[in-house]
Amino acid sequence: MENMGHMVEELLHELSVLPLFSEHIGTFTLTNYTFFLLIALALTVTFFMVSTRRLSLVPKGIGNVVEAGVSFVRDGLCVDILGSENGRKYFPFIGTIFFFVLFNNLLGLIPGSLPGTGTIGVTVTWGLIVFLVYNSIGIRKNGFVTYIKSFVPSGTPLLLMPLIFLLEIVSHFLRPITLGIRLYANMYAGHIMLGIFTILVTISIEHLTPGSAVTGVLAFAMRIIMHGFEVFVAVLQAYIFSILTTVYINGALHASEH
Amino acid sequence: MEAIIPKVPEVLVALASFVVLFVLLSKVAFPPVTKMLDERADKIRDSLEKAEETRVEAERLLEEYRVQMAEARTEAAKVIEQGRTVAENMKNEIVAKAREEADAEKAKAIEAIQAEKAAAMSELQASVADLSVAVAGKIIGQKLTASDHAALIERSIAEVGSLNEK
Amino acid sequence: MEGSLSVLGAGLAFGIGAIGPAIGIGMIGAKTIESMARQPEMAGKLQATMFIALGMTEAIALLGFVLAFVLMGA
Repeated sequence: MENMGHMVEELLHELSVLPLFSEHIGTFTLTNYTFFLLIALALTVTFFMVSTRRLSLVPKGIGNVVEAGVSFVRDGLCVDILGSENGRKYFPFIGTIFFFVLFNNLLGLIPGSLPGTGTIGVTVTWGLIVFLVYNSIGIRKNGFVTYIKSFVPSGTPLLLMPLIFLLEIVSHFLRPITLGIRLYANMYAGHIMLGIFTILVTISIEHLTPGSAVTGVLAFAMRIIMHGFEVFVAVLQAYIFSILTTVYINGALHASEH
Repeated sequence: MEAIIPKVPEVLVALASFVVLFVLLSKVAFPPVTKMLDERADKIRDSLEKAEETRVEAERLLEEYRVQMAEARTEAAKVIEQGRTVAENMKNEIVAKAREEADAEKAKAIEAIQAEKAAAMSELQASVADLSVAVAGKIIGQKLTASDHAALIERSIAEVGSLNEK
Repeated sequence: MEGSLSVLGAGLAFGIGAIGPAIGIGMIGAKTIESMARQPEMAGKLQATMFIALGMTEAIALLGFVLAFVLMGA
């Protein structure tokens, strides 16, 4: 059991943010997570460069994949929530978020690699980008004063106004944080869970008894099932991140209406 | 606590890579894909519209042909009916005429026969009278008196007449 | 000893904090299925709305998650 505690500690250490190629984390240090983030970036760019060259009116192969993805985000997400005009206008932003998050999440599921989204520094940064973008859209669309006024619903009693306003401000500032933490927590916790099952399998092989063999087989089966589940979570989290972004943008666009 | 404090280098890398990817995707990668999607949507819409148009046109033509066909059919039926009546009339006419002619012919024939018969009859009467006088004269070998003669003739005629009447 | 108490607090913070959102997510799922069964033609819109609601409910659980980390360091 002591062995297991030790292994879990090791796993947590592996999953923590570690500097690559240096001793300490400075301003421009590459960490284990950002390393894979850059790989995911390269993969995303390569995927789009290759696939957009294979486009044809009759879709086939990889061109089909990229078209399905783009049409899922553009038509199923942006246009559905924002309407045709705004959906097309803001699709590049939302699409970038979706595909970048998706590629990061999926890359992390290849054994030995980490998801670029498995660290809070990355996800909260993206949350903040979303925060800045949707607020500036709201301000540009409605004007600063109208946008700020829209935080308080019309018809609020005068006495409650400061309170409601404060609550709205807090909830707005919580948005980038929850966006970031949701993604980070799902990826991080998912990898801890996969690691724990791996540790269980390892231990039951190391101390092989008839009883541990059963545990080992069950843990191995769970390890595989959970890996499949994590693929689902990876796609789902990319979807949730982008759909919430779209909803926030939509709220900012229609701020003057409530 | 440490795990939820963002690290500066990660923030920088995340920010930079997001900006780079956004620029690349929105300028280079997305436009051809969205353009292709729109093009295909347009094309499909066009094809569907065209197909719909063609279908309507075809239906219209079919309807037209159907109407024409029905018209032609009734026309044909009318022509046939007309032909039939004409033929019927003609037939009746011909038959009536033929019958008339036949009747006329027959009447004429009967008339001729009648005339012939009457002529034959009168001739026969004449010759019978002469012949019987001659025969009677020869048989009897004697001169008949004028009154006998006359009586004999009367009787012969009566006999011949009754013979003729039978 | 102090360290283990804060670990206990962290576990409790997340564990108890997750109860409410867990119930909430269950209700969201149940109601969505119910609505989908009632109006299958609305399934797409309902699903999108479900994910939005899911995200907001999840955010509350995430506060507990953050708190757990904060307490662990304390």
